[in-house]
Amino acid sequence: MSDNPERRPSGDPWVPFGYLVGGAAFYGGVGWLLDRWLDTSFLLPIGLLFGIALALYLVFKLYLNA
Amino acid sequence: MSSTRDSVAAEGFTPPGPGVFNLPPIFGDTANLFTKPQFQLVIAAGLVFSFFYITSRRTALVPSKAQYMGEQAYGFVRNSIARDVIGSRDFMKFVPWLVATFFFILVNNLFGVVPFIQFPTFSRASFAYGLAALVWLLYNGIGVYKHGFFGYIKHATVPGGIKGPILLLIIPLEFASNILVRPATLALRLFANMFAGHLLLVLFTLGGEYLLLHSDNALYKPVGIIAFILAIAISFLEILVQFLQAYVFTLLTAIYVSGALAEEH
Repeated sequence: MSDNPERRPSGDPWVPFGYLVGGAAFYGGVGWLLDRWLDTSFLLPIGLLFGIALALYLVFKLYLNA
Repeated sequence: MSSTRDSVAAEGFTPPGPGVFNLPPIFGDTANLFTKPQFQLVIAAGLVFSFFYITSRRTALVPSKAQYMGEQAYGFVRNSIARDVIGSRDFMKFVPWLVATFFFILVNNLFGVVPFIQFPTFSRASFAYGLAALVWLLYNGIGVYKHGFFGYIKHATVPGGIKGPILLLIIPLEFASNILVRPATLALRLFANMFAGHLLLVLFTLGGEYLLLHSDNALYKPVGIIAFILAIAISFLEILVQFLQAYVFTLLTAIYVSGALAEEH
């Protein structure tokens, strides 16, 4: 019941999932590209972990503030 | 015991796999011009249209039974999805879209358990992708219309309540999550539920048929009957899943629209 537009439900329970997948995909992709460019192999996992960590940070930040 | 198991394996019950979703075309040959799921889409559109056309053709102050049913169906989506999520100011514009989406998906999903049809249309992933693409165009289009192109990009990528240099890292993440991942999860959720449900039903039915009719061991025949009973029970579970998936798809569409319309985070 949100007739008041200020208090709309932020509602989508899939938001954290989207952040996790998006974070892993984007920063994993950046790591993968850097790996190809620099001829290394350790940047892809670092990118993946970094993306997931960032997504978790964002989820905690947004949901604890809410 | 192991010898009977070997004999059953040797007879070769081939468990159903993704191949059961590749139906032969109704007409047209190698180009797959027209297939059963395509036919079902057309039927579903016709059914939904006819239902609302017939029930709203002669509206009266004291509704007939048909009009009452139509109004209940329409009112369910209008009130419990559109108005509750989008808010009373803007929701009416989106009610036709949401009502059409909900009942179109519902009918297509229910085809999965309707006797002699028994194929959920959205277990073919491309149809779900197409539907999600429409939703993607809708909520992004609404956002651009409301906030302007750059305004909407900012709206969709900069979360409220986070400041400082970490924003630079967050913005691509938000973009990926809101613009790229959303339509994919929307489509995959619908597709995967329909796919898994149909495969489960096929497995129990074919397995039951095999145990009952083609197994050498008489002890396996009752198990085949149990498999049939379970298949019927799973059909009822599937009806629930089919309804829920139609509901969730419509609800998320409304949530995305509401997010694109929101003034500020």
